[in-house]
Amino acid sequence: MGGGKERIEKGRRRVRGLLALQFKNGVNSWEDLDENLVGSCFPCGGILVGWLISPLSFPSSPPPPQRIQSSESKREPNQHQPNPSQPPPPLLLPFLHLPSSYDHSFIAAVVVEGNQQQQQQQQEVEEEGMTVEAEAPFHVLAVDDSLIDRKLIERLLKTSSYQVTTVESGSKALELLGFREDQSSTPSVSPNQHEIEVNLVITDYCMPGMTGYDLLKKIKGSSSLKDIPVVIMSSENVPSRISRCLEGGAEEFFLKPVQLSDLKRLRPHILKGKSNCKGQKQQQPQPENNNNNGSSSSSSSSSNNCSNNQSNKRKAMDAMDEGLSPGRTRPRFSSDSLTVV
Amino acid sequence: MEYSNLRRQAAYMKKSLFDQGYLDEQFYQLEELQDDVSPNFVEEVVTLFFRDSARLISNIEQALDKCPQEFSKLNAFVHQLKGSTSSIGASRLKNECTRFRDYCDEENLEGCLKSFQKLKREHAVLRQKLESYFQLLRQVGPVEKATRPSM
Repeated sequence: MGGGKERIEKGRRRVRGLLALQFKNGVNSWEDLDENLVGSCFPCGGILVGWLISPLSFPSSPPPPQRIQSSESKREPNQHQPNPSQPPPPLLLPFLHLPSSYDHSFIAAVVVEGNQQQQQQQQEVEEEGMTVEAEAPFHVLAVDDSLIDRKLIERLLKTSSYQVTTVESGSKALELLGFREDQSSTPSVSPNQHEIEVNLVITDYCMPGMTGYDLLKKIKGSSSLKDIPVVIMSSENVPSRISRCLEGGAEEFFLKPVQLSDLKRLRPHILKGKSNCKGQKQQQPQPENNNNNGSSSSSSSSSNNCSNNQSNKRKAMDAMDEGLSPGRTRPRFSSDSLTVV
Repeated sequence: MEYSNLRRQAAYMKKSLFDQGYLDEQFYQLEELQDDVSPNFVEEVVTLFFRDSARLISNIEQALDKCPQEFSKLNAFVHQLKGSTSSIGASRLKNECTRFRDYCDEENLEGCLKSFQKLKREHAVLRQKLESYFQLLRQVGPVEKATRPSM
């Protein structure tokens, strides 16, 4: 049992490495990719059923599902060859994360269909996939001079499954973010060791010294920080203040006291922020249509500063519906089957 | 059963705090945030609040005593105080803060002084009531989260 899992992992790593290599060498077409992958030889005898790559990387649509058999699977007669008309129970290997130095930012999902022997590993891998899902929650930096409000926002954010850091002032926030004054024009080269990775900043407006608005402007004026979404909170409902903040680049303006329901509005901004960094998308459990086709994969791989903040632990998101041209028939996937063809 | 009596008492106490306007909806929001991970969240926040508000009230008192004409300073203190009262749902106290702030804006010292006395009283009353409430809750033990007093 354990051996099987290892093999899957090995296979996974092999594919990942191979893909990385290919992009580095300038793979230009689907055919090139596939040919190289045939040799990747999933040790579990799986079948590569398809690819999804963001439209930025290849202009043409992906190839039809290929049946690629590893040499191992040839040796082991598989009595349970899937019926092509029926989507087979899959093993999903969500994994690919390429460093920002690559030209293409892409998301690929490989569905490996295990043979009968590996069916039992399926559960484990899926669970593993689920665990990966739970890794690296979004990190929010909350700024407020009020101790009570810091405690409150921290609890609100934690309850909503965010990782939280609270600070009492704008200057402390900038310090944590690794803000450097002279960075207004040049992108950051390498991350400061003391920087923390932050997916969203939520700040009070009225603070002594640096106001929330001042903090917002500093963040948006910094090449390394400008893509971090900023939300402003205030106890006062002043329309001119609100519009000033929104015009200054704030994503949202919350009236205090902030409530759990307000926090739901954070998620799209965090995800958009991540998307701007790496062309990555939110994992959608039931993507039924192609309405996201190319819409959010921005070419802002120039904001590699964001990626400097991303740890290698960050998993790739499976944006299953990216890159497929409309009209293609494909099985819809749900969170339990995790099939993509 | 003594236990269910205590629970009823606690529920009744909470209900009166709401009925009499000491607490508002925001207090329920705090309760919503209390769970197994943070089982004493409400009491912790309230404790923090009273510590912080006592400090601010003391600051206001000193300012009124020493430099009463510096209304902007008074305003700044009461702004902070009002923010905290709003965050925990201390409705009556929050309203008193608003009145005090209005007098500050008008630069009405007499109004400020009168309002401040009321503010201090409200603060003391709320503190005593909430202390009793939490004391009772502690005797009762972990109560299930009710959004409304169900008894």
